[in-house]
Amino acid sequence: MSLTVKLDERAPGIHVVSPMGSLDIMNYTTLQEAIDSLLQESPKMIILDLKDLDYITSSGVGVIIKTRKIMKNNNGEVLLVNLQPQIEKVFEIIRALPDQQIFKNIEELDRYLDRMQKKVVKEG
Amino acid sequence: MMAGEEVSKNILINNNLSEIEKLSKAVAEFGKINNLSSEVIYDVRLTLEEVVSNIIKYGFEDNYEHQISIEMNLQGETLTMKIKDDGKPFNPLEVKNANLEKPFDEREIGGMGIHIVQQLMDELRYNREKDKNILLLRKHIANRSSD
Repeated sequence: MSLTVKLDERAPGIHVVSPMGSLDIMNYTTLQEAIDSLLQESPKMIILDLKDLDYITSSGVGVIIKTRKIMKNNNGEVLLVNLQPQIEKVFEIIRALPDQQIFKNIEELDRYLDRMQKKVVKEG
Repeated sequence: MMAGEEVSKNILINNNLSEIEKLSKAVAEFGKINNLSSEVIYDVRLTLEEVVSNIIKYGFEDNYEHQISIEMNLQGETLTMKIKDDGKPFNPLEVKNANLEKPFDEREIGGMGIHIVQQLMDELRYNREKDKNILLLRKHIANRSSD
């Protein structure tokens, strides 16, 4: 089954990665390679917009978990948004990510980002 | 399908990860013909992909082509899958459980896959019979089509 990955820089250092289609054992390297090239730019934040992702297996989850570990080591963040119910179910089973990194929709994500930005300004 | 009726589908694939797509399509077809919900079809597709990928990756020690057979059987509200291969004695359910604290490697992903399967299926049983690995998976389907 096929996978396309869309990349978008939403703001300096904040990148949106949108895998579209099915993320399985045959094509997870496509997502891995897209993220690897992004990591070379030392992003502050990677937002995975999964609204067009219909299917995920452990290989795909592995890419996301690995990315999160690398970003965490570099004081960056990985956030997930727009998970379809069947995708959310897989993440829940594995308990792959803390709840505060999964957002139901873009509005919820935007509110989080606003709060983080205000926090940075306050601390600055 | 009438109550008490039984429907089966047999799929044969080679021990090559590229064959999993063929398996996924067969599951989708079987699900559609038998009016299974999209959630059940997804669970079955994911289960078979996780189990069969482990068999392909870890179950054979030679470079020959092998066949893996997958039988799906639907009787009433019980869906049974039987996966058979002639590889070395290997229980795909025993790929080490994922420990997310450790540095990541392929085994961890395989273990995570099996953890998913254990949550999605109601019964799981492995046997070794006459040089064949036989894995039986069962899922009880409450509502056949709730879409």
